[in-house]
Amino acid sequence: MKIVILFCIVVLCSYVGFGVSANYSERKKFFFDLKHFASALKNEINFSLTKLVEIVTKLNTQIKDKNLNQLLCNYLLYLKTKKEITVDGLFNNICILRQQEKENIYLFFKRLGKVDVFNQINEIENYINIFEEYYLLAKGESEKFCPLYTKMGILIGLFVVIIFA
Amino acid sequence: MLKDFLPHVIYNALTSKLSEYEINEIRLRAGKPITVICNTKHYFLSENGICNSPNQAIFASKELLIDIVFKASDYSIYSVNEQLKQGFLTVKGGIRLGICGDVAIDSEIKTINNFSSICIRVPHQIKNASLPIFNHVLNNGDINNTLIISPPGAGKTTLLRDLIFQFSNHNYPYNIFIADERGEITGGEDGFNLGHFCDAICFLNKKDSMLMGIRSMSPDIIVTDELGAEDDFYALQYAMNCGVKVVATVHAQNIEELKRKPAFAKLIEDKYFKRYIVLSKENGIGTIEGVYRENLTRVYGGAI
Repeated sequence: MKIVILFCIVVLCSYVGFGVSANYSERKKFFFDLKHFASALKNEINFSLTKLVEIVTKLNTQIKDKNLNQLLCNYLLYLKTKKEITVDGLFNNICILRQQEKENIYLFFKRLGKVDVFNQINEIENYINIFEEYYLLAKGESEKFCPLYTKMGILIGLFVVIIFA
Repeated sequence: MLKDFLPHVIYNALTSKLSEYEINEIRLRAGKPITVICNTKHYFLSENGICNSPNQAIFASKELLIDIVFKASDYSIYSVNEQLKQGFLTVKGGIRLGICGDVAIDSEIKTINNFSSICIRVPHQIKNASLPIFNHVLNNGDINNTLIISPPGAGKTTLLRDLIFQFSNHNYPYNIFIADERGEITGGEDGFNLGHFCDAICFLNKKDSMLMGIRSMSPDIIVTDELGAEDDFYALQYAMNCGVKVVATVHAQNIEELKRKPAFAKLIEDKYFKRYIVLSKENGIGTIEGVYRENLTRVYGGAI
């Protein structure tokens, strides 16, 4: 019985470690996909002047990241119901982002569709640069903290086992 | 369709006593009461529906106008900016928003902003509206080049739309090409049922549209709305000289007034059009004042 409990402790601590490190991986993936989404959006607007609802719906089906999928679903809800966009509504069910990042992404979506093509493209390009910075930061953090938290989880589990054993 | 871009308060007020089908126009002017035109009569819009007193009316604000334009563009101003530059915006179902405001110019028109007025024109599809004149357009299997003449808001686009439908409905072996510069004839996305034999290019100027249509779709009939620009006449004559028949519309009170426009005077003199159909609002929208031959003698209806 004692062995089973100790085994569970190791598994639990490792799981927490993996969970924390997964958060960093998800952030990296989210910003990578967001950057590509913005690029694709820019191209679609520039080439075909398609309306936002159609572009976002189409791109959302091509994106694999679940957080970005959720964000785009939240945004599409605003476009379809034609209501004023809010930070809380836009990031509903997304918990991997920091406040500053949320505010910038919110401004990106809030400014979409309000100007002519030339200015819209310029704005998106500015935001692509911002998302690139976020991506590099998230990538750096991921490389640094992912293995750290994974190892820490396992080690803490083992440490607790040693103490109680 | 109006529901898609009008605020709930205004839409509910509008539809409390009227159906969308009964509305011809809604006019919103910043700081002024909202007016509604139904069957050529003007009303104010109050929270309880249409009324005759401006004191009870809902007033439009600049913010309201911005909101309406933004919603009408489906939150994508960039996609309709070319239309905005020309002072209008066509939304689903062919509803046209005429827009006034400050024009931003930098060697060319860049956009309109600071909107001050919006005129929302609700299109209608009246089945069989063109039957009284149909035999004048199609005469013993031969199509006459036809010009529909009417002042604004007298139903020429509705007549044109039904004329197209009648050609399809009666299975005449004609391919119809619609040069729909403003997207009003076809109604754009989720547009009107115009039958099975129509092809349309929307939101392109009439000249390029007609030339593209002739080259790519080999039409028997070209239909277009609101002739006026110099280029239109070049394309019109080109089409007629290619063996394609043309049915078009133009703004004028009557043929006399039309003859005062130099380009049309030439077309009338050279007998490009075989039939002229004059509409008015005399007995309601779409009143057929008369149908005239190429030599301007009357075939149907009243005198010139």
